[in-house]
Amino acid sequence: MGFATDLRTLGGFRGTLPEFAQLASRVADALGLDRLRPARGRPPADEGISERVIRDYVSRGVLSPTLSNPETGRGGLYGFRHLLELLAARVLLADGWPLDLIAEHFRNLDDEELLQLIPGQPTGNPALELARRLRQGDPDPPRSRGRFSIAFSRDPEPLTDPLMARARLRAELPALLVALGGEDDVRTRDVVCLEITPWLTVLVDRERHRQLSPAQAERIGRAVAAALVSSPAERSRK
Amino acid sequence: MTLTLALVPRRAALLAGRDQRLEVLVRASAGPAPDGHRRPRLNLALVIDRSGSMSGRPLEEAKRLACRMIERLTADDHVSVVAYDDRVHVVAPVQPAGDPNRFRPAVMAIDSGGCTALQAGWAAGAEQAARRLDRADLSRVLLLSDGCANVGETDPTVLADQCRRMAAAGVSTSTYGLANEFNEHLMTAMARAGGGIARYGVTAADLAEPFDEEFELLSALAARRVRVALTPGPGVGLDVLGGLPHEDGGWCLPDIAFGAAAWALVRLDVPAALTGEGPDRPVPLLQAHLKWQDPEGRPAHDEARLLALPALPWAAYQAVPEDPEVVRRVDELRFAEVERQAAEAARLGDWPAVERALEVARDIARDHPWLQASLRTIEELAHRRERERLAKEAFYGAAARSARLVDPDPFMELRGFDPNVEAARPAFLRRKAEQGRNLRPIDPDLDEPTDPTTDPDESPEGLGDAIRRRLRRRRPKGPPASQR
Repeated sequence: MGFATDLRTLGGFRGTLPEFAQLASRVADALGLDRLRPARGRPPADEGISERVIRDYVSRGVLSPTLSNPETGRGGLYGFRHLLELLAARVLLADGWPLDLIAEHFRNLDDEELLQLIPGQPTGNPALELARRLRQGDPDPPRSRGRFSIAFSRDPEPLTDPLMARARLRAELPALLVALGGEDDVRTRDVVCLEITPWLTVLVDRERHRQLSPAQAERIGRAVAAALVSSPAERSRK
Repeated sequence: MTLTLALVPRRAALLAGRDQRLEVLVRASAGPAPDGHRRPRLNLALVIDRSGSMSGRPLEEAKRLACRMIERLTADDHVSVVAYDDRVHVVAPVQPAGDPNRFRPAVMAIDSGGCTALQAGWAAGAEQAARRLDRADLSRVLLLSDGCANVGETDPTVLADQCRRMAAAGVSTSTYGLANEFNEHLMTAMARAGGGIARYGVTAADLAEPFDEEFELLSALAARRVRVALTPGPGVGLDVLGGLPHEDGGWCLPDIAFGAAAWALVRLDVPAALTGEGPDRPVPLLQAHLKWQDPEGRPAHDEARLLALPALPWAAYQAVPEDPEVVRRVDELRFAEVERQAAEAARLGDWPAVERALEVARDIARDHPWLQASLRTIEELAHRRERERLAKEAFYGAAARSARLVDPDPFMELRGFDPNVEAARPAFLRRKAEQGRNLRPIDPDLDEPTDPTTDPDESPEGLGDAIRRRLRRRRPKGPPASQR
């Protein structure tokens, strides 16, 4: 559908409410605007673009007043500006805006600015089109890993980016730990390592070790002895 | 506006008949702002993390920081505000600034939510800024987060690449990390690729100064996207130090403000065979060429500079003094490297390795008051075994030393380190002893929260705490915030 890529082709549109509602629904559907997720805490935009919704938007000032109909001399006609306002309102609703703010915002925007709010429209603004692609999930992988100068004492050699490598590992860590069946963060603690014999090592929390009283040490010793004689390895040998 | 490029060797001579290494400071300076200078029209997208961990005081302070930033803008500027948790909410679409009251209710109504869709929030901010690219001289996303990206795109390589592409399209990115949980590697990579600055604060109130720094830098901006192309002389080896990125055929220097200079340090390997022609035949060592964009985005470049030095016999060579500014920069980069090692060791909880790094740092900092002050901060954190704080402080300290703006007058950089004097300098030239803390007096509106886990009577006082308390004491009493 031609209008799906460039709404400007509908610049000459004029129609009655039913004609406008039908066109707006088709365009919104083609542009995927009615599939936008509502922002957290906001209700869904509504069931779709109906004549009732359009009348409501006009009464709230989201859509400009209707154009006068030369045949009847009264209002009731909708044009290209109304189409832009309606589609842009759907975008902003999905971004979490209330209708009264949308109405206020639209009063300061011309047609070109409204057009820029609507995804999928050629804007002549490469930065905007890039930002939109990035919001929707950019299919392009990173083009290069970049080149960086060396650390002070390092031997001269071509470097990959160590900062990026660390950032990537840290980002991956929570998911990897969960996949291993643990929590999403590594727990670390300072310990004192006591090598009782070459084949027996005891690790003690550093702070607790510092505060350990002889009586506590005595109890720990007895607990260790009890654990050793009743451990699974000992039982299995029996 | 033009930049002045200087090539300053550590010693203005070579030693004849020896293989040798020589450090050279490459300095790009901007003069003072011309009369009638108009600051660039800004187009800022403030992107605020409102994930669950920000709830309470951090989010309240972040919102007040955003309002303060908006208050400093004028009707010629544009601003937008985006909040994100696992979803994005465009709080205020891009529009002319100038009436802060229009934004305040919407900003202050931001409440906390769920997870951290950092990429989605950043991209929404970039989209807002991109919409007014044509009505601003400088468009930038300011991303504030206290957490790790955990929803949507989280790959740092992808995120940094996206920031790089947006910067090339005209929207740069600065990042502000908050407290202890954020991924400093990611936030720094995004800002570096995005052509902005990366800063962090221990509390949200501590981000007031970095926000001021950003605003002052953008207001006084003389040159951006500064690239220096370096070509060694025939037979000379060249290394660029300090982890600078290479793009567009040159090494990336920070954006430069009027009255400031950016720099790079290079190391040349000069073989003995080049030094045998005698003192009358200077050895061509390095050619440098600078290009940049002015604040309005117009490309500019300068004439290439050539460094050639005579090769002297031992006695004459020894009589040539070392340049103190180059020596200082060399020591700062060595210190930065040790800070990085300390940060990595702290992250792994390897305290013996931290101690070893600090031992080296003490040696480097011996004659450098600023490095000594920074070292005291790190030592204090090491003493208290504050793993995350130390990792972040040392990491950001290293970054600050590796790519910072300096006063073009070397004398200003060579004098001692006085926090009170630093507080009076432009924020973008300020040297801080504690990267995550404010140096200047704190706005009473942004007073620090009390950490309920810390007993002030038992906790050793950091240098930054002492400075802040002194400055608070000197601060004249004004009317309460509610009456202003």
